[in-house]
Amino acid sequence: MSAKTGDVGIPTVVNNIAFENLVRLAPDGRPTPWVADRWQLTPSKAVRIHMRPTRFHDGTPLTAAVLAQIVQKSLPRSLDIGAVIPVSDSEIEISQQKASSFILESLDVVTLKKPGAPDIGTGPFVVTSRGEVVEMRANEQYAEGRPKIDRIVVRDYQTVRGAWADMLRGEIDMLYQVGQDALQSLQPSSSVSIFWFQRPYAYIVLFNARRPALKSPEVRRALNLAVNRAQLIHEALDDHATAGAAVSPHHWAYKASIPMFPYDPAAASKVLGRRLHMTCIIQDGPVFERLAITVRKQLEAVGVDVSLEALPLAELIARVTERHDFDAVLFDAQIGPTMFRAYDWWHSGGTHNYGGFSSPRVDAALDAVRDAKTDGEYAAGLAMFQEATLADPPALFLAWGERARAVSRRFEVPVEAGRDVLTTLRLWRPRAGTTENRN
Amino acid sequence: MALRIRRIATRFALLLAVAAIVPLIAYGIVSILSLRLGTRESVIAGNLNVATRAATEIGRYVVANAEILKALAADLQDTGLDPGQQDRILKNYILQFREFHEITLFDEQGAPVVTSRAGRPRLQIPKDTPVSFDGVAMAPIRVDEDLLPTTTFAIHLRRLNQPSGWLVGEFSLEEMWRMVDQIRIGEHGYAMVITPNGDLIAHGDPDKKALVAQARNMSANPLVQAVRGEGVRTAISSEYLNADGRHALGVAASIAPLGWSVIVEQPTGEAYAAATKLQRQLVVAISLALLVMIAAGYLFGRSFIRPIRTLQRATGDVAAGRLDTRVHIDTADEFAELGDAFNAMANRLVELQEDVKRQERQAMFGRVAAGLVHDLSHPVQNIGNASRLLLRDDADAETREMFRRTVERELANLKRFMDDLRNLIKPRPIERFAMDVNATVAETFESIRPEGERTGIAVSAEYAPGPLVIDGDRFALGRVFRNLITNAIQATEPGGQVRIATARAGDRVEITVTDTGSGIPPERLSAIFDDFVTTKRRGLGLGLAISKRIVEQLDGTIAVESAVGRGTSFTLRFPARDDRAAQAEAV
Repeated sequence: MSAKTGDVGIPTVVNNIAFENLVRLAPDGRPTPWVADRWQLTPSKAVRIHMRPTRFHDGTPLTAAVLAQIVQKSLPRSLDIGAVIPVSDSEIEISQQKASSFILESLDVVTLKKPGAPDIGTGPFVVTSRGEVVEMRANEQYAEGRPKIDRIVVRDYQTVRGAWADMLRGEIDMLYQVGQDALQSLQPSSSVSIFWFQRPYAYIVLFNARRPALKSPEVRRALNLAVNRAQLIHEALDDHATAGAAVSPHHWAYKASIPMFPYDPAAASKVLGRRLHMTCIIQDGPVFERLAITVRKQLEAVGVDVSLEALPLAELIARVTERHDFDAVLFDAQIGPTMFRAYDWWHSGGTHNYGGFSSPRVDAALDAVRDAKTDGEYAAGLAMFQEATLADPPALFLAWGERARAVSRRFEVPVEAGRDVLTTLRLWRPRAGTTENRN
Repeated sequence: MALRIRRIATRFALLLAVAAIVPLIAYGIVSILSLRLGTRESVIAGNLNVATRAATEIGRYVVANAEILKALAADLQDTGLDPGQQDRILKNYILQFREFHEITLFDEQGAPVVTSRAGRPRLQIPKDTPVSFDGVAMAPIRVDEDLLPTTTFAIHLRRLNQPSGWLVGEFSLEEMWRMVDQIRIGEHGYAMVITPNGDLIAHGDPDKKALVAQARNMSANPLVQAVRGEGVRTAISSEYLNADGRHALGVAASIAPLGWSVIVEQPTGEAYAAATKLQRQLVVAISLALLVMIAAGYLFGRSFIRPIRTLQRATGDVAAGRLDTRVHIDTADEFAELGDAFNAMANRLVELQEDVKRQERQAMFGRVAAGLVHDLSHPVQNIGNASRLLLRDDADAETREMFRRTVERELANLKRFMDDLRNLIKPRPIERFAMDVNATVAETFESIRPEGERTGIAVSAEYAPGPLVIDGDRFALGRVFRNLITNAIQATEPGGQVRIATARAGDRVEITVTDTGSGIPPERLSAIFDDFVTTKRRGLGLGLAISKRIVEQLDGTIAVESAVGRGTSFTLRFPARDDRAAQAEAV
């Protein structure tokens, strides 16, 4: 398996394979049982979670006590949880001051790593060596059954070209991430399968609401009206994205009757009549460059003067998250698939609210979602949020992205609709008649 | 030795084959060769047409995009635009012309002025530009990080006729790949694009695109070598073993003005499949025609000779004595006339046979009558004379006794005569038992010797060491021996010799009766054993016929050798019985 496209490094790849989270999120944002196989709200508003019998890679059991420790450490403070305690051999309880629908959604971030031994997890594969090349072996005691693949080797390639050439030669079996342009070469090949999946990431231009020019909701709304998302997705993303707003259109509670931002350059131009200038920093990379140039062109058409500044990722992160030194930043942000993520980004108290955005209406809507006790309340809150962000958008919402993985056809790969194909890695098997003992 | 074809049917078949099939085969060979050559040329021409069109399209595509950069250069030079304006123009070009990934304007010293990139430019002024056309220099093709074929164009700008910088554009040739990908000849025919150095820059087989990424050099390809040898402007075709070890037909067309070549390669098996199929059909058709012709010739020949065979069979039947054989040939031709003639001949033969039989019967009857008269008259006359004399009163006892013996002798002769006739009419059944030939011959010899001596003939016998045992009828064989010895004595003049000898010859027992008599003329020798054939003045000529019949009934043979004036020898041969039981039983 190879990695290295843009910002994905080996650690991310290994994490996705060797470690499990407590729950899995469906493409529509709902948490689905995984290690936590059932849960319930107790009368005392605690969330009681039951886990299936699970062992760490070293054979030690994942006890309720250890799980409580992991959960306590992993859940964000913004959830305002109390204690996490074991209540039986296989159950823990998460107490909370106030019942929150985000508790279950947030379990997606709870990665099961053995305390004090971060290389030991509970996933289908066990890390056996680390270095420039990471090797993993099948977990013989995996709770869902031993994987059919015995061994996985993850290595980093300097260029996609090198990885692709090796893949077409049959020396590697998977490209973790395939760029859009590379698909032109890979898709027709008879030896490779391409698997698309929806990402919980959206391409946005985050506005720094602290800047005077961008303080006004009307300005930010006009900027959203000035972008022709369909054209942008076609020109810059090769139609592999979904136009959207602050909520993923795939979310289970998404209300399609609430319109997204229309393309109305005339209305935008009326608001942005005076020349607005802003500098947009972007992550260095062809996709972001193309997006940025397209957005800039469309904004220039309505009188906005946009300067582009490309930065390496580390520098961009520092400027945005630490120094807040930006007008606008173009990047792909994980603002879905749950409203827990959206809360984090757009609530005035959210930990990822780097733009300093604050809107009482948005806050109220997000609070309503957080405090919802039923699906109905949740959906109502989400609808409020959709409308609130239409009126006062914290960012320029461009599109929800897709990603592709390339896998050698010598493997039979079960696919779950809408999901990343890696979620079924434990079920992959070599096709009959193919060589089994290969990297 | 020359081949002799005896059968008319075969001759007919071969005649038809030679007359009809040889031209057909000759035509077929010529057709196949023409087809093969024509198809090959047609396939090559078709593939060349595809390669040429692709080369033209690719050339136009590259040149067109170079023209875009030239148009941009025209927008930038001598127009007095500030860097901000230039920056917008470049970025708009990037959005508008997706084949360009980056366009950067450099000053004459090589420092970037403005770029289409949001960040720092990646391009540099290319140093290596092996291809140049119409003011645009083009760097070698490479595969970039996005797995796309890329090159760099560079235009040297001039302002007021002075060099004023460079406009450099990174240009993606993915459209060229799409063009090449769309070229499919049959199931396995693909196109590829090669630089003058032999570098592979495009391959229509998606599974072979890795070769492009590996910067595979195709100089070892025989067609590539031919292209480099022949020059850039020639369209070439060749058959060779490709990199996969398969026989392939390759055609090449050059892409002017880039110096690249488009090669279209197709496995020869597939390329010539249609022709091969037609050839096969032609061969099958000719073979079928040949078989039909041969079969027709053979059948026609058979029907032609059927009357001949009929006549042949009928002739054989007639030769075998079936004179009632007739033929029916209704072919209404000369064969029918021949059949009629045959039938007429057969009728005539029957008539002649009847005549012959009648004449033979008459002759035989006459002979028999003459023999009867001859043989009977003497004894009857003697008996009559003797009887009359016996009746005379003056005959004394001695005379009476003589006449009585005469009567008895002649009666015995008559009795023998009657026995011969009776035996002829109703042969006495042969009884087979082990008998000693020596004993039987000796017994017969002893009884006849006095007669021979009386006539002045020396009669002798010679016996092989015995016993000589055969399965025989002692009485019948005794008669045979008596007949032969008697004949020999009768045929020999006084002073002559008659000798009887027995011998063992292999698994046979031989009895030979030899005389020094008058001999038998050769023309009568062959019929000596026939009924009513005799050389004697007296007799019906039945003795030898009866003897032969008896010998043959006992599984033996009788043969005669004779020379006129020297004598005759009769030899009888019988299968010997050597088993002890037979020898103990023999009498």
